[in-house]
Amino acid sequence: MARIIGIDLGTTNSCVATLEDGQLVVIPNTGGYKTTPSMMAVTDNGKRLVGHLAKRQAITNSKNTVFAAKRLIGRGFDSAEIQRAQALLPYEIVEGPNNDARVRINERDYTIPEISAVVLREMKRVAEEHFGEKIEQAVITVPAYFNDAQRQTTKDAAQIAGLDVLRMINEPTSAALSYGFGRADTGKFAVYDLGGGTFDISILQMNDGVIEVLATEGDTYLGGEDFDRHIVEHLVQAFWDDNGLLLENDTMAIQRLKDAAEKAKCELSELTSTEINLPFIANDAADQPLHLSTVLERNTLNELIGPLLERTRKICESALNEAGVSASEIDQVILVGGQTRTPLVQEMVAEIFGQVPSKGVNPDEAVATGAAIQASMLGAGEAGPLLVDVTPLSLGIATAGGNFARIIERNSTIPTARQEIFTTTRDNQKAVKIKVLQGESDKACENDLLGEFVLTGVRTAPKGEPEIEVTFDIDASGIVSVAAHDIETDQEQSIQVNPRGTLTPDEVKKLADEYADDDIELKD
Amino acid sequence: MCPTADEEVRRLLRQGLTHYGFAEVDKAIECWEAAQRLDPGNQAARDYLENAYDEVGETSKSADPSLSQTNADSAPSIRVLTDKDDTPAAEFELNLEEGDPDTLVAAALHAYKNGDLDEAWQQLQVASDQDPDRLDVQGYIQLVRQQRAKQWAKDIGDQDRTLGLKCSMGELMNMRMKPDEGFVLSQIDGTLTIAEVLSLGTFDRVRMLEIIAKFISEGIVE
Repeated sequence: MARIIGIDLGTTNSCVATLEDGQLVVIPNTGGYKTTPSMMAVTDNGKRLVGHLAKRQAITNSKNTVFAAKRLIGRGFDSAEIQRAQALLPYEIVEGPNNDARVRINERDYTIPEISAVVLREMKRVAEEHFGEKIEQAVITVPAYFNDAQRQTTKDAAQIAGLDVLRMINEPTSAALSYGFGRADTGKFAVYDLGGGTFDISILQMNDGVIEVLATEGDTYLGGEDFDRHIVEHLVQAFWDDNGLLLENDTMAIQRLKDAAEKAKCELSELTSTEINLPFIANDAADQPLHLSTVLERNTLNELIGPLLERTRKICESALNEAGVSASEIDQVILVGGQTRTPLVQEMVAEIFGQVPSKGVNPDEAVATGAAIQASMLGAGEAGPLLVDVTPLSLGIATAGGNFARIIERNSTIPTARQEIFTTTRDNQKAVKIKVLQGESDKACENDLLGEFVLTGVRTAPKGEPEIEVTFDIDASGIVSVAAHDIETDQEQSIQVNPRGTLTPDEVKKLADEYADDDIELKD
Repeated sequence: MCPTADEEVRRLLRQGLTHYGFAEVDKAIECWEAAQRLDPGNQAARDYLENAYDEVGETSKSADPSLSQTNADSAPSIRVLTDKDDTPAAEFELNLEEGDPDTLVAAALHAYKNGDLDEAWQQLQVASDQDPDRLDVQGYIQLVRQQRAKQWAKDIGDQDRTLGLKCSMGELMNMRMKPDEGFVLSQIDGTLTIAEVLSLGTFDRVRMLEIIAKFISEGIVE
């Protein structure tokens, strides 16, 4: 039987796991780390770096190092998210031929799925090295709020990486699956996931092996990277105070400060203070070497990150409200993401939910191990916890007057299929255009267009008479298919939605072929 | 040789150096051979060609007794070409002042020929500082730079091994390092191989090689 791996494709770090002889195993990379930075870089001589090596030069080679590609995946170039990313990210984002966003490095344009594919391929390689066999199938996790385009594009990335995605599952569901592994817990759970670049809160219901996502909310620009940035700013200020020299434009110095900040942050999860020593970080006006040597206290860290954590409080309250439950009704809070090791985060979560959060899962690994559990069940056809996920955004079609007709409401459980009957708006209308939309606005133009198609052969009749049944189908991975059927003439048209901002099947195949023989530098 | 021919010889010599600096040895040889045809007694052309023939393996030409190696001690009076030289071709033998860019270039050439790459580098850096627009100096800097990189790579040896710090933080603080050396030192933590440290797209690879070779030779890392 072919082996199937579980992959947590994170914004900042990725992780691969498997279930071996009933034991969950997180597979370490070549450097011995259990997580790998989701980064790709290209050096001046055209060599591609992945993982920790890419991270080590992310600041000094910032224009050629791509990180947080997950924020860009499946989004149209003109979307607000891409425009925001353009302003914040150091690498160049350009428009591709499908209105998709691409990253330009050394005059070559990389598609976003291609960049994610490089990371996925590295995770595949790590697993293949571990098992000494070829791996071709995976379960991959995605944020619960990912829309159809983002899910579809993640699947494309996997295909480019040479992986067949048997199932995509939502990250909080995966973490809950990991938490529930070997237990028989029942009740309402909150999954507080604070990773390197994003924050997500999900409210779930677990009952007799059934896991249902009740609501999910998040902030795609809030995570440990922000903690690091605040520490770096603090260190730059301290160095200025001591030496009168500003380091903020010195990329080598900032890279060292960033590395030191991350290390200090981790140490402060255990200690109340830690030393930071960076010898020869700069030279003064007389060309004499200067060193940065300081002590960072946990209290100082708390002051720096406190305002960031306050933002998570509001998002948690909103998610509870959306799920229709109060904080006191939550039976257990599961912490996910490396940043939840920070004591202040744990204190804040305890305050929000009125209880000490569970430490029942490894926060760095829970999402990947949940995917591994799902992979194992799919591979063996075993019975196990049933995942009941929800669609994060409402789905529907555009109707006369520019209105949005919802067919599947937000937070509906998936897989699901629903139908609605529509009719024509003009006499003798022979065709209807079906515009498939996703979003929460009542105005069609304010929602995301996923795709469109035309149903022809409609019976010639006065307006309002023909009956056209529109069916939306969302599979267990959250991928949307839409069909329109004229009940009287039996004419039918359907599409699997290939949204704007994603690659065509031919483009995906071409990239998959290119990367199949690509000798890239895959190091961690 | 008329002044016009003299200018052409200079142009060809410099163009050759530029090609040489960018590892276009064949094109460099073409330029210098053309210069030598115009001025068969031109010592600079002979010297450059001797080096170039050695590099491409044309030993029969480089072994020509007429292309004898010049003594480094005679550097100040070596025949060189200069933009500022208005003297007739017949009086091309220059008496150069110490510190003059032409003298420095000549001295660098001799140091290079004698295998003293550090000395050649220093002379060329000074020459470049004095006259940054001289293409021949820039070309020659590229040439010496590449040779130095080869030497450092040889000194470093196996690049697949990992390096770790050999001295304490206290000892480090008593040393004198530049910020880029401090940066490279921060990347040497016992987890990355030398090849991986070199692959970091942080700054110039040749400078990285120099720093790592220095750390190894001074016993800072092992």
